[in-house]
Amino acid sequence: MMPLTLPQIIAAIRDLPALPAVVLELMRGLDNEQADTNHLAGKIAQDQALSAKVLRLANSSFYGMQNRVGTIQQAITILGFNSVRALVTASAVIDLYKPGKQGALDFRGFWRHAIATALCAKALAKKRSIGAIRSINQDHAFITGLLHDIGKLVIVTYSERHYEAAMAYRTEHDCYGFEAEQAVLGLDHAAVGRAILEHWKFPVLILDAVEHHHFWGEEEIGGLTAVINLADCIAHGLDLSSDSVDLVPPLLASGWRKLNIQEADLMDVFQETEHQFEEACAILMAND
Amino acid sequence: VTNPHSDTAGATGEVTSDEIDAAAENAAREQKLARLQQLFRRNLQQEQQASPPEQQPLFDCLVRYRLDQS
Repeated sequence: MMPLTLPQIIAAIRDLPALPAVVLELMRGLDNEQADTNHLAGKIAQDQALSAKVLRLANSSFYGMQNRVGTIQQAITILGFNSVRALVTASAVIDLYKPGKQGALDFRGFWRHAIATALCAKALAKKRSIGAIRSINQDHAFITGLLHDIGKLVIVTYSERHYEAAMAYRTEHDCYGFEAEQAVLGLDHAAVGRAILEHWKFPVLILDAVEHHHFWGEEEIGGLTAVINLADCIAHGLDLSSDSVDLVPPLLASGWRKLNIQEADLMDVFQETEHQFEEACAILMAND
Repeated sequence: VTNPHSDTAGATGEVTSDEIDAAAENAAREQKLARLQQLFRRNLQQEQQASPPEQQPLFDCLVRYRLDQS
C-alpha cells in the first residue's frame, strides 16, 4: 500500500465537509477578546439546532448554573463569550462527523474519547495553583482536548482502506495508534490534525498542541501541549471510550515535569471528568 | 448461605454472607486492577526497560482512585 503524504491530505481537506460559517467566524476571532458578541450571538441563534445544543450544555452539570440560561445572549453574559464559542465549536464539529457513522473507525467511541479528553483538559486547566497551567485558557484546553485526534477522522474520511490497514497493524503489533499510522501511512493523525485545524484557521497555540500531543522527545513543550497529553492519557486510563484493545499513550516526560501535578489535584480531575462525562456525551452526541 | 449472626456460622465451615461479600469485593478489585494493567501494558513494559519514571505515578494514582471507589 502506498503511504499518504501531507500535501495529498491537505488537497483532500478542501473536499471534506465544511464547518458552518458562524463557527469559522468564531474561530477567526478566538484570540480577539473584543469580538462583537452581539453580532455573533445573533448568528449563532440563527442556527436553531446548534443553539439548542449549546443551551442544553450551558444548563448541564458541566457549568452547574443555579438559574436557567434561556438564550445565547444570556449564555454569553453568564458563561462568557469564550465558553460559548467553545461549546458552539464543539457542537458543530461533532455534527460534521456524526457519531452514528460506522466503518473502519468507531465514530461513537472516537467522540466519547474526545469528549473525555476535553473535559479532563478543562478540569486540569482549572488548577490555577500549578504555575505551568496558570496562563492556559480553560476553553482553549476544552476545544484542543476535543479536537486532539481530529486527524483520525480526516484520514478515515479520505481513505478508509488506509486507516483499516493502520489499525490492522496496530492490532497485530499491539502498538500505539500513532506508531501504526507512521509505519503504514508514513504520517500520523497528529500531523493531519494540525493541517485541518490550520485550514479552519484555528490559533497557532491549538495547532501546536494537537501536532505535538504524542511528541516523544526530551525537548521543552508548551503548557497546553502538556495538558492535552496528560488529559489524553487520563481519558484512556479512566477507560471511558469502551475500546477493548485500548492503550494509554506515552506520557510526555517533559510535560509531566512541567506540570508537576500533585496526587490530590489528579484525583479531583479524575472525579470531575467522570462526573460530567455521560451527560456531556448525551448532549453533544445527540442526533437532533 | 448461612445467617452470619448464627452461632454456628463459620464454626461449621459454612460460608457466611460476609465472606461472600468480601470475596465479591476482592474479585471486583482484582478485575479493576487487571483492566488498568492492561490499559498501561506498553507503558509499564517501557518503564521496566528504560528510564522515564513518569508512567508509574499516573498508573498508581489511577489504581488508588479506582480501588477507593470499591
